Amino acid sequence: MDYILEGFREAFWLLFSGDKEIFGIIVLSLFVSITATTLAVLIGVPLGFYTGIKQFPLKKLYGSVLYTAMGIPPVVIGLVVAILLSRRGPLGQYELLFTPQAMIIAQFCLVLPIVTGILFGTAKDKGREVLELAFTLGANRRESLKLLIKELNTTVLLAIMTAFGRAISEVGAVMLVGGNIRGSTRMMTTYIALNNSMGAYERSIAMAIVLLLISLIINAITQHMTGGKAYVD
Amino acid sequence: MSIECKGVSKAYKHKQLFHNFSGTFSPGVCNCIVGENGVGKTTLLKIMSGILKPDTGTVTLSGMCTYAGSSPYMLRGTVMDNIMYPLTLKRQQGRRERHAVLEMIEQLGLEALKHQEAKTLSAGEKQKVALGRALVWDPEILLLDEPTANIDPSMIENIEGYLKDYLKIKNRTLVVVSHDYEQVHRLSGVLWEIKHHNFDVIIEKRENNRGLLECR
Repeated sequence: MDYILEGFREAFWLLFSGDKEIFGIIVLSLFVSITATTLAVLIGVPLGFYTGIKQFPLKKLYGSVLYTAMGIPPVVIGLVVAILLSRRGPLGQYELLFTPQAMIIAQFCLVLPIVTGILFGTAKDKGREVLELAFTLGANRRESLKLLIKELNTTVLLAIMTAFGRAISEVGAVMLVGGNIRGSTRMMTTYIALNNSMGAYERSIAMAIVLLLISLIINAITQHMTGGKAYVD
Repeated sequence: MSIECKGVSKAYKHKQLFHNFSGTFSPGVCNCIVGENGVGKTTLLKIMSGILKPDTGTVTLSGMCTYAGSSPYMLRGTVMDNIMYPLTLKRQQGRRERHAVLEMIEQLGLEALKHQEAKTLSAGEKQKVALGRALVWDPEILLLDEPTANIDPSMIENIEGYLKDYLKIKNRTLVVVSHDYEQVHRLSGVLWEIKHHNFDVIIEKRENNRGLLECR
């Protein structure tokens, strides 16, 4: 029991003493996950809206594939991205493997189906109703789209927060494509995994506290922005 | 301000609805569409509104048109926000328009609920809001799908009175889908009955619906 308490004491000391390595890792993790989430949102939100509202052949199959992709294990995505980026792979010439860019690509592939899937599901159920209402009340295309975004903005927020939560907390994909290289591609999750395997619990606990804090902050922001209401009406 | 249907047909995957329907829905009278469940009343109304496309034929509307369904979607915000929305689109949010909205809210018996979140209302209250939202911007053509289905009897009279004024004073075109033959009679309109005939669906027009009332 003592070593756990000792771990917490050490962890707080590490955080408040301004350990450079730890802060470097936090900054890199936030940068990678925020970039991957932003890219996924920029593509996934319009794609989810569009495919949810539009009627097209094989839409059911598309939905099934999308929902399956939402649950793909990160390690599988890491493996696929690592194969594509490896020297002998089709994108090997860009020498991206074991770089932060590779981790951004892997996290982007991981969260894109999440953002698209959440928006697709909601737009499929509610989008048509909103657009039909806007149309019957005399709204033009731009006004209809504005209304749709306004009506579904909590879903967009939910998609962003879910995607970021998934990106910041995953370990398998970044481990495979980043390599957990100290000072270069070491992320919060891979740092916890590494120190845990070495028995350096205080460092693992310190990073776990930071991850929990980030989680709390995200929730607080979401709650504030939605006025404490449910994410999806 | 009329609706003209020419050779309109509609079929779903496993179901043929009306075929080659032509007719003119004139202003100043209540055009009531009646028929059994699943015969295509709502589909016809949605085709007229432009929400659905017919398989064949054309629908010509001479005027701005709005449609209020039987289970209307409520926008985020209060009852007031919902009824104001069409005016917001037309940038008509002045004192006069707000006064008109408040008057309408009162006539629909919604004054106690005007600041309530519209999504939390009952089915009947939502229908009243939808009716207010459809009427507030004064469209030339109004399409209503069972507008009083969930509304309490005491309020139905008010709404029917409002619709009569809308027809007579403003000479607008009103098309109502209804199951209530008494209501059809009260609104003293033209009856369009959609019914099965020789394995086909036909739409029959009756200028005087009294005969129909008596035989039922």
